[in-house]
Amino acid sequence: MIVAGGSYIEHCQYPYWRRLFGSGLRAALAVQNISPGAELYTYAPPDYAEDVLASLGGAGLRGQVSPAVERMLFKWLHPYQLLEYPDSRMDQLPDIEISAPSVLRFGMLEGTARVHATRVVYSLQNETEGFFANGSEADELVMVASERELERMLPDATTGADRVAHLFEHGDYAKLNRFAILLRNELGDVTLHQRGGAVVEVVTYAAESYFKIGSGDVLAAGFAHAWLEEGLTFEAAADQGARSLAWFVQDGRLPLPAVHALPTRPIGSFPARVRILGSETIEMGELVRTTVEWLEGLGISLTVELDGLSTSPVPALVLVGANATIDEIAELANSSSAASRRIVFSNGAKWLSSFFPGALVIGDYASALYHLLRKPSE
Amino acid sequence: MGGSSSAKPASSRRRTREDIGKGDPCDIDLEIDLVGLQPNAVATIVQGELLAVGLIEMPPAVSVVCKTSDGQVVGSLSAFLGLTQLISCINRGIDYRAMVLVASSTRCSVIVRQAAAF
Repeated sequence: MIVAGGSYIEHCQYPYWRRLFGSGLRAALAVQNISPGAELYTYAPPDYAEDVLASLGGAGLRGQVSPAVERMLFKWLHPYQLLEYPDSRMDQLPDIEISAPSVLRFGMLEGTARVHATRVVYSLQNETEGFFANGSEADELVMVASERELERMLPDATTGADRVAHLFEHGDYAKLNRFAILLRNELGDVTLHQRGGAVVEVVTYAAESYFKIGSGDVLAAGFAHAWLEEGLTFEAAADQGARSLAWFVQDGRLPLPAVHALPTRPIGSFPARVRILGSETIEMGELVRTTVEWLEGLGISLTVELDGLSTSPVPALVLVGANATIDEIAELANSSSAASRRIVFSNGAKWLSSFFPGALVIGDYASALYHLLRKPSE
Repeated sequence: MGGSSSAKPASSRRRTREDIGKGDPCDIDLEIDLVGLQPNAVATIVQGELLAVGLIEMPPAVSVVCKTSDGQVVGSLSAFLGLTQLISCINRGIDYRAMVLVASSTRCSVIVRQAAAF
């Protein structure tokens, strides 16, 4: 597979994460076993160009690294909150040119890959650049994007359906022989939109934990391998992409295995309502604030309770601060005891399992949210 | 090598690429998850265990791997700032170990330092 995409430094505070990935390098490493000899076209400054090549070389992959000037650093507080990223108004590097039968192309900040191919999978990333804007050409195209990315690309459209419809009707895209959009939400649900066809809700597969950083890259890589290299239909490739996504989000594991080893257990739909419980001394205020905004954005009704007095059967996320007292923990345990699903997140409190029998006690916030919202199908 | 009794608790200090070059460039202190976990090998290791860090060379490819005391490859060290520096230091004869922080069927997190630092 030919992959074009960025190689970026990634830092995350919770969970601790210091890596050199970026969409391009991550996707190339993801397919190292299922697409031997894959090649990455990327930019990198002298500071870490050799590290990119060494990472590829160790996996038996090839790299074409175009020189860059600036370090590209992305910083997250936790996987749902990006704190810092490179200025997209930076001077643009010379285009990367690729001519090949098929290409997996990712949007980049410091430059762009102009591809000339029969089949292309184009993952928008945080870029708003349309596929054709840099002179790229394709006969068949699948665009992979998050709902937020598509919103940034087409801010004037009011709904997701309008944005998809706009792309299908747009001049350049309308001329494609085949065109589809693979759209994902914040928790990895994927829908497949085909021009002239019905929307397909792709099955979402269960994972034991949820590592979100780079999950869209792996969805694109899994889909691209299935469609570009195995020749599967859009629907079958989307399913394989979703299973690849579920493989990756469980601890951010790479590379992707052969298809028979990918997850097969579907996951349930969102609950309509959830509770977030915490002690009044909770020191995770910022986390709660961003979580509330995020859940409301997903259309989920929620109650935030800091007094720990009532009980309810709705799924509950219990936040226990590192300095919570025994009495506070006991109150939280009591008020969450009737919950149909109880997830306990703590950034340091010990011995919580004895207070919360049957609960899932998790120290990784993104995974705690994932388990609150997603229950594997029986 | 092997066993947790000889391993000191991990320091909270994490040496990053920004630090490397300010002192001894081979004084690497890296916390990282292994890539390409080998399920059979990872099933045999425990938290606190020290793994050997070595190179597997299949020219032109060179990969850095962590191995158990009986030589099983647990996974690779890849995709981080300073990978080429680590390879260079290993080639110069510096001996590294990786202390296991987390070991499960889907994840192995380690701290890599010079063997003498454990």
